Amino acid sequence: MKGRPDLSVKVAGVRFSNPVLVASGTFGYGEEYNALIDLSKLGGIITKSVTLKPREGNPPPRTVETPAGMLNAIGLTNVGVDRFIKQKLPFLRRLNTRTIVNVAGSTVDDYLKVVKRLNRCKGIDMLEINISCPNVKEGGLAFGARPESAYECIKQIRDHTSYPVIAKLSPNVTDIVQVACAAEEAGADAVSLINTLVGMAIDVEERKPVLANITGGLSGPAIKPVALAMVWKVAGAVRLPVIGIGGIFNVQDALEFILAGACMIQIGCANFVDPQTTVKIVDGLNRYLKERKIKRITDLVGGLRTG
Amino acid sequence: MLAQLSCTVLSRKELLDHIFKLTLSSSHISRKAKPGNFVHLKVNSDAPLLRRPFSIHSVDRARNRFEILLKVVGKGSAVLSQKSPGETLDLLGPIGNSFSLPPRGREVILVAGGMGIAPLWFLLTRLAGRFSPEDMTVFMGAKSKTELLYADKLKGTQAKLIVATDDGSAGRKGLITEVFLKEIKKRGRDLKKLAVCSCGPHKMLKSMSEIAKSLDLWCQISLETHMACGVGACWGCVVKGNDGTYKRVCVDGPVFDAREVVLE
Repeated sequence: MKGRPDLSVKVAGVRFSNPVLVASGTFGYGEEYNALIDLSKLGGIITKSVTLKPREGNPPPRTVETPAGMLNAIGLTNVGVDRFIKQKLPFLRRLNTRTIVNVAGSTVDDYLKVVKRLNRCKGIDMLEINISCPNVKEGGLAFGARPESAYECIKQIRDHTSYPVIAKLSPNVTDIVQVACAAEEAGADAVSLINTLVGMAIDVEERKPVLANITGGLSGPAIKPVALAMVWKVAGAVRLPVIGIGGIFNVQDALEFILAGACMIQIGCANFVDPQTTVKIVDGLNRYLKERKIKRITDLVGGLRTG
Repeated sequence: MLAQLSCTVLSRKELLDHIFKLTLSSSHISRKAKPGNFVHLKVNSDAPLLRRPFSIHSVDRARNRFEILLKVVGKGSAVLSQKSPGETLDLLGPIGNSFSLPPRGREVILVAGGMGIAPLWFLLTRLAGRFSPEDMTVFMGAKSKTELLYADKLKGTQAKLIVATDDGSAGRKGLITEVFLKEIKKRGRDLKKLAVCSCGPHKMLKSMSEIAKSLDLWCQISLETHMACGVGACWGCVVKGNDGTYKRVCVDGPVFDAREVVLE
């Protein structure tokens, strides 16, 4: 095959040079990784959750490694929307990659206030609505836990912004498909899944939980099969673009999510292990398509052969 | 200047039971590193998953190499302790802030607990040209004689050396922080003339922080904690500041003014 395969993806009218994004909370505001990777090679950067007021977050210890993964209970530490706009967005705006701002709140009104301030900014391509943080009461899981409240939150945001809206879904629910469908009905432009799974670790010497927050969110290779199954189910149930997240560490993992129906993927925990993971996956996708003479990455999305 | 590099293990030496010194090749680290900086090492290709942070223990600019000390405490350190010369390691570094050089005219006191000597040795070598040996004192603490690091090496520096072990098997008996406190109080000197730098286990640094606050000492401590990203992105490694805000140990530290952090 002559030329490079086409890795570009279009979601809600926004064109991404490739389907590889970095997951919220694992990549700061982008600048933290600027010395280590060429950020323009990313399809896009999803910021750390932005809330109305700055948040200090949970007491330490906040992280612990567990088999094939890690628990975190950071607690949405962030600079707040005003400082985000002033201090963090200008850097992101200068980059030759897409910027998706992740928004969290404790009430619908909070979300709306953040969204309204972001509405006036340049350099934002999309919003990702966090209705799934397991680590703070105000982290949105109050909305993401049930289809009705997810609908209400997403609908309100939809009515108050012209940015494309991604609803980030929690796996800590009875049926993620129902929440995905509610988000679709509410006017979301895409869904991303999964956020972390609630987990726990115990220090048996001290008879204490390892994390000060007692429970945390599990990420890493340990959750990949769970995430993959949920992506596959949701992709079969909604017409919306699905963005896959959960333990993606290499191109093989990325391809699995794409075949299961994800049109884009997010890399989270793997950034910690190897900051080059995203770039390696982009290269790997190019190679995979080229070797198999597949012209476009979009030709692979949902290409799983079942039965 | 933070970089991701591949470095080669040049040698591995077992200093004491479960305590190793690894010599690694890197012109970048040997040139750029300052005392207090650390490297974030990838242990293996798969498990354990996360990187492990290690203080830079010494650098040799002429030969493009640097050293780290490691104690086997878990899976990550166990794997790293078995790396043989010729093997390569993926590292991020140098990371973090560094010890501020004590103002001239001060008496420099280094307080090390066990593995805490790792960054303090690097600092000591940098201070040697600025301060005369009679203005430098090293307090070196360990659980017992069998875990006492660098006693001979420290003697060779001509800085004053005060050793203490918890069980009294070497030097004075007691916690190094207690010995340190007794000593500076006994001397009755103007405490404003002291410049203290310390590193060691969490409990020891908590004591140092309390001492520094109660006596208003010029005192810097280098903290150690679990880390995920190591570059300031994830906010997983925080310590609480006096002002109620959380600071990242990886990039706002690892060196902090002992009077400005609250250790639990």
